[in-house]
Amino acid sequence: MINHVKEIRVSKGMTQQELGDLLKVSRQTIFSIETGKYVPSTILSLKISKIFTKSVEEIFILDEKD
Amino acid sequence: MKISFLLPNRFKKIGLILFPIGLLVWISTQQGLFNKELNHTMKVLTLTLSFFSFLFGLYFISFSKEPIEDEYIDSVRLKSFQISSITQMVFFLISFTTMFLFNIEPHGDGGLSIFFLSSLILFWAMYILIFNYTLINTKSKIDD
Repeated sequence: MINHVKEIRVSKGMTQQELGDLLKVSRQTIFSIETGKYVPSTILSLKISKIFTKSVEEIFILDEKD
Repeated sequence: MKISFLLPNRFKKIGLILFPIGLLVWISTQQGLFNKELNHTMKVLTLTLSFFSFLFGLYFISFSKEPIEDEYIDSVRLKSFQISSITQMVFFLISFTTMFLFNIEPHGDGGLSIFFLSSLILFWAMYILIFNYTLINTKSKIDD
């Protein structure tokens, strides 16, 4: 799974802490998602897409391994 | 609805106090450090109390919530449990194979108790180590 969470977050001028606070998750969770170490649940993915006002498909993209 | 069996975060601090004190007192009493001061009944009571303090300390550390308990922490918990279970299974396999091959038997009930106790402690120690190592490692790599 490839994701554009970091690019979109930075483009919106948000820090990992601010995004974490909005999603009610820790900064470690945001870091793990951004580095691809953790794939978020459907609920968290939908919350991220709502905050970024983008569709889930624009943020998360399936790669060949999936 | 998400059901959580975890204890509030403050129990971690209680566990961090109970665990080392219990372990130290238990080992000291086992080694006969308080033989002069304590009669038999008091010694048995001290051993029991210190052992349960040690065990509950270990459980409190393992089952306390993190300040922010989210789905990533849940996944780290699960991964830590899986690795600890595999480690314990390997420990059992190696132990029983060694006992079988070299015809070694635990000496009486005491030997057997120590064997099962060490496998129990190994599981929880591994769980605590892996869980905290993963969280600390992630924290140290965080950038912005």
